[in-house]
Amino acid sequence: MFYLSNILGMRVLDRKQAVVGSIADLEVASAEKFPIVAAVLVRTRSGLSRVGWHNVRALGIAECTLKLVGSELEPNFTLQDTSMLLLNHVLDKQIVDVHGAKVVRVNDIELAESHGQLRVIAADAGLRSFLRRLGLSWAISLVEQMRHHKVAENSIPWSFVEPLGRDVRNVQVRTTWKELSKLHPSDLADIVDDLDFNERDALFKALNDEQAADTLAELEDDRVKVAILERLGVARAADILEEMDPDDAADILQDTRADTQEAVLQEMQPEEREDVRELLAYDEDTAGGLMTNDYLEIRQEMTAGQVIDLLRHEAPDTETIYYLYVTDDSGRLAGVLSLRALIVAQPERAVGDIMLRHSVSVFVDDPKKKVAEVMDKYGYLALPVVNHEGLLQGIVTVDDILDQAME
Amino acid sequence: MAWWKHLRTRFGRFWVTLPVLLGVLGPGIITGNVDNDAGGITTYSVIGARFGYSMLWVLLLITFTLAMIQEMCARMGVVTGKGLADLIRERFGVRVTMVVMLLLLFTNLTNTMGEFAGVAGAASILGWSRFVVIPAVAFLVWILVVKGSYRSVERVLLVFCVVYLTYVVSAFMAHPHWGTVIRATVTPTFQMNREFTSLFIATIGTTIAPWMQFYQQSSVAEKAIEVKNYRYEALDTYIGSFLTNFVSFFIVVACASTLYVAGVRVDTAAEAAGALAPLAGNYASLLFAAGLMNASIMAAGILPLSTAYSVAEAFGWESGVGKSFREAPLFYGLYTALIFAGAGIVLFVPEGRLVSLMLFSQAANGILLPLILVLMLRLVNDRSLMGDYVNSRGKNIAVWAQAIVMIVLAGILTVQTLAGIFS
Repeated sequence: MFYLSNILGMRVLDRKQAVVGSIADLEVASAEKFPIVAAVLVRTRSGLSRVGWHNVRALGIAECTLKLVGSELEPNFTLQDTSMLLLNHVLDKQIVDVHGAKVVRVNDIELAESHGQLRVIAADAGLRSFLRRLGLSWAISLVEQMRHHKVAENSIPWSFVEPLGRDVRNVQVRTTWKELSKLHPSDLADIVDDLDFNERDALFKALNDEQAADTLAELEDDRVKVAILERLGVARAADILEEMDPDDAADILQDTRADTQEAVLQEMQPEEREDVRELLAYDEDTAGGLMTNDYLEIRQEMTAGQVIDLLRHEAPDTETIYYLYVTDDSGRLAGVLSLRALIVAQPERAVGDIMLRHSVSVFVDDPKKKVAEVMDKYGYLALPVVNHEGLLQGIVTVDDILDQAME
Repeated sequence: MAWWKHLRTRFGRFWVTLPVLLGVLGPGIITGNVDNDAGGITTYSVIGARFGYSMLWVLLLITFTLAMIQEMCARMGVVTGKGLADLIRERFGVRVTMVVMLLLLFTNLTNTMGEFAGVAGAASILGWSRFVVIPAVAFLVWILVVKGSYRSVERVLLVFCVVYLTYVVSAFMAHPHWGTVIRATVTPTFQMNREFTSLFIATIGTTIAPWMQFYQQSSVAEKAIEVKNYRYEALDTYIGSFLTNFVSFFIVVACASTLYVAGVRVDTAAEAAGALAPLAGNYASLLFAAGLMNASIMAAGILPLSTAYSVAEAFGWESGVGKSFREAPLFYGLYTALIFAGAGIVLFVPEGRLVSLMLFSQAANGILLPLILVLMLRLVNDRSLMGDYVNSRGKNIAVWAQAIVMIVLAGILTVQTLAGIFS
């Protein structure tokens, strides 16, 4: 096994054992799971020369021998958009450890030779590799002897590595982020926190609208959400916001500048736009600001069977189905129907007969704290929100106030 | 009425861009203001008291140098989205990074001590016990960052910036002769004696401090300012550089028109505040001390924070005031250690010992600043990093010329200081 830090700067000898230069970098074919080294970049007296791996006879501990003679080495290297260089693009740069779902800095890179090919096998991010780079290997063994305990290597198998160092603004070589987009949105959100904004732009461009919406909703800092959306441009921002729950979308838009807010709203589909617009009218820290208005409208004269059919059709999009809020003819909150009561009821029974008539509710202008208290007192996961005429306006779910409770 | 139409469209555009501008403002102004910390105020008080108005021209000149250097950092932050420590690590590898970080850690720790010494000095003028005030301040700034959000931190800092205006009031209360003041500002004079040269260099060293480049670039990067709005960030930087020297100008004027005229010698900012009382009145003295207290508290928070950010960036630790202590233990650990070490040393180590530590710090600063300038110039001119936003030719010449002057001056100061320590 080789460490990149040992290979860089290594003496390069030609076929006749004459020193022709030193190793400046390794070029890899990045498409592979464990990328193959395609070429060695040799720093000669006249410039950088790219030597294909087939022209390398042997890579030893202290030197690298070529199959060429010195005069065949020409300063022919210019950085292609398609190549990835280990020193230039990976070492000391940040990578995403997909398995651990975090962003780390690469202290060293492990390579191994098999069947005549040199492959990248892992990225090292631990203290051990850091000390080795500083030339303090002796310190490692000293510490290990004293504490009888190995200094962490923290090497990440390359199959879990998503490099970020390659110019993420460059569309052609942009990393596929294929592994990344399989992650859970809340893991993605943790990663987004650690990326710089060019990397964030690239990541959000690679995610589909739904993934982007879920990831955005999971982010903690509202300013980061706003910055990401503003940089994605009005059209894409609108597409993503349409995929979000209207209350989350309204939360973000609340913090954007008035002109951007209006432009994004104009781009959204009329239906989603109206939902969001309605919510924007409420103060952020009241029940109105927390609630979603994307809920199922159940009338008390409907039958249990009809409600179940309605759920089948509509429920995939609505936020919660464990409690259904029932309204009378004039839209006033009449009662609450639990999913359990609905399922055990005979299909032909009227909702008005099986619902609970005295449901707990909060007013649109009740402060966040009140909502949390009511939810805590009655142990509900969701509450209906009504205006002062008793008309149902929306529902607020426990996850909307969870961050409040954690503070 | 073409001019009227022109004016209207200009203003129309202004009202559209105003929210953008306000959203961007912050990092440059905060950095500039924190620059007038306890060490800065001390230096400006001393040059005012010792040499009157004759060094004011240095402040005018240095405003441009500072603006140019900070602008490069701001530009790198906007274009790359990365902090300076990130870029140094990525471009120059582990060893260079380690050297820079060790020097930065050392100078910032001693500077933090300087801030707590400033707190103690101001407290004594205001009649408060240092054994109450120093721990209280340490705890206050610590809790603000650990428990607060980025937004609350920035908001508190911007309010703190306003308190700096106390120095302007102090200066006016000293009734200076404004004609002489303005003439001295635009007329370079130089005295060939050791005290003048070393104060001259100290002024530059305290105004262009290495932590500023790291701090501003990181906060610009964190703000995710779009490249198309870069000019607003440049404006923010220029305002910050102007403000810092605007304030220091009035500190010098306040001390020059009173202490210099009366021939009072001072060695610290707190002494200057105390000496102002009989000459410019109690209020001027109290305002001066309040300004010192404010500046020291602000810098006592920012310096450790900036250091923790830089080191975490360079070594790839989790960092950010948005994270919890458990998510970013090394970041918060370092931040906490710097604050409490700084406060603890000032409280319990005798003053005589502190002086030599401060001198070492000045020498370390003298090595660090040129190093950072050279690294910065290489980074900002790297096309693969900056694209079309590399330095223009004219800017490169101007910055290199100033960098060389500063490298020479810093070299002189370092040699002088080390010679002083070892003789």
